[in-house]
Amino acid sequence: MTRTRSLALLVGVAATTGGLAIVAGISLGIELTDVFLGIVAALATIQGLRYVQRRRETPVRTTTTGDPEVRVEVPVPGADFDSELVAATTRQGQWGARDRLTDRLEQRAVRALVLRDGRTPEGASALVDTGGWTDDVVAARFLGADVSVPLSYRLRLFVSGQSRLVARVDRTIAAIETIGRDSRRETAGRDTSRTADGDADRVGAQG
Amino acid sequence: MVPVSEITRLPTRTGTAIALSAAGLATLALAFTTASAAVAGLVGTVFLAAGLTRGSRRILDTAGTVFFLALLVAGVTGAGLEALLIGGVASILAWDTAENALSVGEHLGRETDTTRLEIVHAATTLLVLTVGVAVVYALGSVASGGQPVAAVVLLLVGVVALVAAVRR
Amino acid sequence: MTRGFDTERWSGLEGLVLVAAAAGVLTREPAPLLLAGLGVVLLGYVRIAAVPEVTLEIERELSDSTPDPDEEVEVTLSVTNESARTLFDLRIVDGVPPALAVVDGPARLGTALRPGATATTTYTVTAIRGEHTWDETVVVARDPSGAVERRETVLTETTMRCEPELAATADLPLRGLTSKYAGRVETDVPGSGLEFASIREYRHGDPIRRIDWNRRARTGELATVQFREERAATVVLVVDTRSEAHVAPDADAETAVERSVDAASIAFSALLDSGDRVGVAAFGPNECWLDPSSGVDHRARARRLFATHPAFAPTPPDEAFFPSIAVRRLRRRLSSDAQVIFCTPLTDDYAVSVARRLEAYGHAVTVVSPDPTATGTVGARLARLERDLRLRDLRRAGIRVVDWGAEPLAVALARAESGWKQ
Repeated sequence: MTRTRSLALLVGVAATTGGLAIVAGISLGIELTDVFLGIVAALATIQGLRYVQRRRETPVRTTTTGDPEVRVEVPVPGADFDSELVAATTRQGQWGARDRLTDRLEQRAVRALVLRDGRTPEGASALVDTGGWTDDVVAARFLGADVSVPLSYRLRLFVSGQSRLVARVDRTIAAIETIGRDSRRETAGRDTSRTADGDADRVGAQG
Repeated sequence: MVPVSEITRLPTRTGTAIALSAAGLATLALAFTTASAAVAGLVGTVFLAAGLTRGSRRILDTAGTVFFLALLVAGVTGAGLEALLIGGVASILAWDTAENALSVGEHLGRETDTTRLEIVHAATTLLVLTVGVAVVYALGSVASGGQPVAAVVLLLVGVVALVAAVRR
Repeated sequence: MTRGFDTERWSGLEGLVLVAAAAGVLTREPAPLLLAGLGVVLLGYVRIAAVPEVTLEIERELSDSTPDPDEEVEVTLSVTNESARTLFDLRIVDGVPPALAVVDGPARLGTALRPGATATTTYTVTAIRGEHTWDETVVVARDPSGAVERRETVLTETTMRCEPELAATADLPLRGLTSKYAGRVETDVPGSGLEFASIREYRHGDPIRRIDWNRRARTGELATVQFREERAATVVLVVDTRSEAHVAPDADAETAVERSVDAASIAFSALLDSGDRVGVAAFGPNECWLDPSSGVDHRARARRLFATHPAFAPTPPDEAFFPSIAVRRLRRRLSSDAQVIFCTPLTDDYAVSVARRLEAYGHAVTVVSPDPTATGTVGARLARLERDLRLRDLRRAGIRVVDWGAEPLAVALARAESGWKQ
């Protein structure tokens, strides 16, 4: 590398000196044709364009500075589920991620039926399997119940262009949120022991 | 007070101002050569402004290429050597300050006061270009009148070899 | 010392030089050749580019190195060029501690510095609880053409310590937290408590303030009032500092760990004021344990602990954590009569199992849970739902829960307490 470089330097200095000498009026006895000139120019152009092309391929290298001004970022609770949902909507790893989503939602539905609606774990599981836990057929079907989703809903979803999976997960969570809320209203009068759970409702109600 | 969010990683305002002024000067100088070169200079200025607004190196490089082509067009038509050289200096300065503004913006953001940094940068570049243009112009005036082809070719070969040697 | 590296900023220029020269040869015009010549000069300038050794003296000054929480602290950064050569292009980014937020002016500086010259910049940070140490300052130096760059770091030791007073929040209805259980134990032994027990004949040495002056006025006899003796409860405040607890509803909000530590320090002070023996523990990768005790010194120790112990830092821990080992260790340390106040956002089921296990081992457990959940996304709604289920799970297991939303802790406590009384 250094040898070629010094050779190039030598040639460069010699040629430039020669050129300057001719410019200054000293004759070196060299005659050149147009063809030769054209070839030299073409070679120079090709080499030049290669250099330019190389720049287009090399990214600029520089230090990247961080953002020490902002506080260290901590996640929002549930961010893991959101990224899982994104993974499930993309093609790679679709099925595994999707299974994990439905498993998690199903577990939560069962737990909500037990803790909010006072059912036994077995009864809750059975209810989720049959879809009887909710009025929302989309949510019921998403958690594995064998119920048919109305054509009108499918059409609306198709027109809205929303990702079907996101829409269904959204409705399922909404359905789980309402578990125990309706029955509470009915029983609120006679079952005072449940008001101990009063502030837990606040959490649900904000959602 | 509300916490400062992340800095704005876009070309700094100082650098943008210097670069656009230089690009304007280049276009003006090209206007004294040929009409097509002037138009190309205008296009280059627009690209430069776009690159500075978007913070895109690629667009800035495109602007630089357009300026180069404008200079080349003006050069091969052989009009107004002085105007051409001024246009050359101004357009190199424009690209250099624009790219520097982008780099400073990436590192320090628009919020930091970087006037001194960028003026020093622009001044050194301008100094080097002025010296360069003086040397080149002196050589050119010596050689003016009946260019011996052999001299030109030898100079070209010399330039190619020197460039190869000097390349980083 | 790092060596400079090529930025590739000027690469491709040589190509333009060659094209210009070729155009000049083909057209036999001098102008393109002169442009090529200008390009060669520029190439030479880029070729000789080098960044001198960067020798900088960086000083940092705080307007207050022991501020109160939420106080704004001005930081002045001065950079001096100690080398003998001019630094044409310096870009400096200060290493603001990760837990601190800059509220005014970026912590950055861009300048050119002659030898011996100094440049300064100021920025403002908001103090929060903790011991904050500044990281390395990053220096990016370039040669005047920008062809070569080098990155250096300079470490300047600066520490800001923010130790909030352990506020004596008198209105905190914390008595309810402990009185239901064995703690603040009301014994049947007559003594010096608050509740009236009996009256007996005066004995030499009885405190004057316990003499029944009414009886003395009526009958002339000296008698001593006896109160039911109260034994101080032992309470250990356990703060969930696992990485799972480092969550917040949005970027500007306090993290759940910060709020948990807040809750613990408020409870600490209130419990100490009412005569209990209080200890502190962290449930997380960074071990922290303060034996239950009482007294002025203990309060000072706890204050420092909450402020500066790395376990309570507002930044998520990097270390690995083995929760079951930590639970076992915690159990060994808890005396058999110790009550536990567990401060946790309940962002996972493990926090629930910790509370339930401690309760099963016979410790009276109260969970104080700051609510970090949001509603912005599907996942956030699910997380809120899951946390609600965990709260119900705990209540069903007989564990008392304080669900602490955006309101002051005292309000959340009062509401929770009214629920327990039923």
